[in-house]
Amino acid sequence: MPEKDNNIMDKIAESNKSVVTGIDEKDIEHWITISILGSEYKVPAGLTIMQAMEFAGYRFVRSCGCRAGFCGACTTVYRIVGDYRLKTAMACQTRVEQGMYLTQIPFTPAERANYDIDKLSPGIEPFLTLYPEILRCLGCNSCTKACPQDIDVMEYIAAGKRGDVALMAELSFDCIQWGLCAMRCPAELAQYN
Amino acid sequence: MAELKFIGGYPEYMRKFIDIVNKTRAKRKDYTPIAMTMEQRDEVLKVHPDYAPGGKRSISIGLNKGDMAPNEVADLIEAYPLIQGNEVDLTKPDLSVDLLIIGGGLAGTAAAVWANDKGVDKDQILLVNKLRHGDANSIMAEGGTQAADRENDSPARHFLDAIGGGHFTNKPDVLRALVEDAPLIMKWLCDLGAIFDREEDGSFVEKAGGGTSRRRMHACKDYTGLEELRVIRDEFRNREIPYLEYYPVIELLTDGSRVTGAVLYNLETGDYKIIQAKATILATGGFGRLHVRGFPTTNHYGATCDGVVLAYRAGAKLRDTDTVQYHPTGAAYPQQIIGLLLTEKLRGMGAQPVNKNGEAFVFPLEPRDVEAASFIRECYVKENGIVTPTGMRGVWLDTPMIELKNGEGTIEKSFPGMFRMFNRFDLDIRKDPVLVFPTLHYQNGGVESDPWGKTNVDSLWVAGEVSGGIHGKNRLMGNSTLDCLVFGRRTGISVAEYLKSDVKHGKLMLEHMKNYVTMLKQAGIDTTRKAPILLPDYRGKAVLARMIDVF
Repeated sequence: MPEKDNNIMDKIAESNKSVVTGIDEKDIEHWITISILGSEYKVPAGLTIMQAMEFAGYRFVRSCGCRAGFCGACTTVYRIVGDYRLKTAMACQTRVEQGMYLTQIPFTPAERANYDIDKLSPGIEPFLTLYPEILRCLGCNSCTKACPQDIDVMEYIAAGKRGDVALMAELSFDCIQWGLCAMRCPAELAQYN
Repeated sequence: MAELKFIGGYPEYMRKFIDIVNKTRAKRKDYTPIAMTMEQRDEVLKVHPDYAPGGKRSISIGLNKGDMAPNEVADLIEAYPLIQGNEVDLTKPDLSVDLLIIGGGLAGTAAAVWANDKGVDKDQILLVNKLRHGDANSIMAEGGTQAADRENDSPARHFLDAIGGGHFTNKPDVLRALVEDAPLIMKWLCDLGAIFDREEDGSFVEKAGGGTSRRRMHACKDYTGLEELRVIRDEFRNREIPYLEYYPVIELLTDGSRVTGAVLYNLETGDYKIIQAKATILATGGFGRLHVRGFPTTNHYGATCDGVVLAYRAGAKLRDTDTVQYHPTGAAYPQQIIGLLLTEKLRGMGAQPVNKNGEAFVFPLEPRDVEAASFIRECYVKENGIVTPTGMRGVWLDTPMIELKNGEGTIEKSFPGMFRMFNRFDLDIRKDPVLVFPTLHYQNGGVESDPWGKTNVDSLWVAGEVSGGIHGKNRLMGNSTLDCLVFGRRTGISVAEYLKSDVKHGKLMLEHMKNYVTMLKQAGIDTTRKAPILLPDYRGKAVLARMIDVF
């Protein structure tokens, strides 16, 4: 029954409209106000930060990658009006909130050491040679607080200082390299995974 | 309308359906629906988007004239170039290299490393990326990489599984290369330091995937692609191979017959660069962001079919353009993550598809197209789906079954990415099932090549999702990361061999593009469409309606 099967495809397309063709105002009931780089926009409640910015008219080149929480491109920092705390979020994985004011950080200047993996031996030496600044760690835990993946960043840096490669690899495994750990570090540890 | 009341992240009415799933779980624990016969598969495939009527048309120009393709793909093939030709100066290339690689996912990055390994000087390689190096579907690959490396398995068996999953339409010579190189690729990844899931005795944890007759899925938790790309990109950086970011290719250059370079466009500043190259590897990925038939997608922001468009204009032959892979388990709730991937490994470890009556209605590991079609049938023909507040329909994927079968704590250990994604929206996949519906996942077809990735156009190689033939009309889980790595390696080696024969740089021309425009006009294609589209556009409709260009 061709008509029927065609009809199914139409129904599926209709139900997916909001994530495929952009959001139509007439479908929206609840609105909130957020501020993007200091300018206020009225956006539908319930969207992610990324969807809300697109609704407002932004078309991403930077600060957008996989749109699924794997790539670390959409690094965002924000506050909520009336709250002193600086919060961090992946724009593609975080709902907008009333009173959110935000900016994105599309790039983190960070150092990366070069090495020959066949010549490294597990232990403390490689870390001290390649990333000696890890000894500067103050133990303030700012890095851990900034991580969107709930990685215990400070703990894996500590493991590195002890030369415990296995633990360091295990603890840092879920890293998506979004960079805010390095940006927030008061001791200027310059690497991020 | 009154606000919906939420309990554990779900509106009250959905919660009632979840209770049914929770109550029937113990009963379903030792029950698995039997796999479908070939006849039953054919029957259910009638509601698969590839087989349901409409949505496709035949390509009207070029080598594949007459072949069917989704309208969204045909639209790009039948579109005009972004440039006319006279605005770029081809007489002075900005850079001349031996090897130009377009696309920095697993395939492109692996190709660079292997070309360098086989003697191509690092400074004679250039890897160009549309976005950042590593922005690719590769890093989103969750479930694993197939490789037949156990005593009870063999590459021949892997071959049979893949060709059966592909409905016997796969190109045998490239598929043979895929399965035979797989164990070697695993060794390479491990040598570079990739951390795969291991048993206590140090052997690989290996799981089943849809359509596989042996357990041969090697995973790194549910971050397999991320880990694989991380180690290969680190090796690439250690070798100091040059790369550019935010520089998509908008046209290939040819001397009339062979590919001789490309026109790059700086997405941020708007200027162009001319690259001259003796060999070019196209590794641009797939087309998920075309949203074929209005489906959501698991794909990366940059998955816009650019490579197929560019290669076709240069005279490359395509194949299997008529099929699209829909992954059965895309997220259907909450709205913020619609279409995102829930790895097949969840089903591999026991998660069961369940309808609104709490019934396990399908064998969980049918090939992807069959599984996806059975979900569509359950929702739209049998009316056994759950309707979300935004009007999407879906069936449950009973994730708590994983904990019931494998012990508490399995989900957090084996699926940290999935657990985290739902937790961000206050849903707990250890306790409650998740709602799923098929989502556009993979470009099955693409540019045809030989077992070394060489296309019918001289000096042009393809690797990864942009290529066609390996998976025929349907890919199995764990064969895409493998495809990227096997053909990344093979194209890198093949180019290195090719360059040994003292190849000279060719003339830089856009005649092929101009001829293509003539063909478009002769075919009566009167449109303002331009391609490659580079990025999709999700801006709000109200804003777009008032957009003016003054700056």
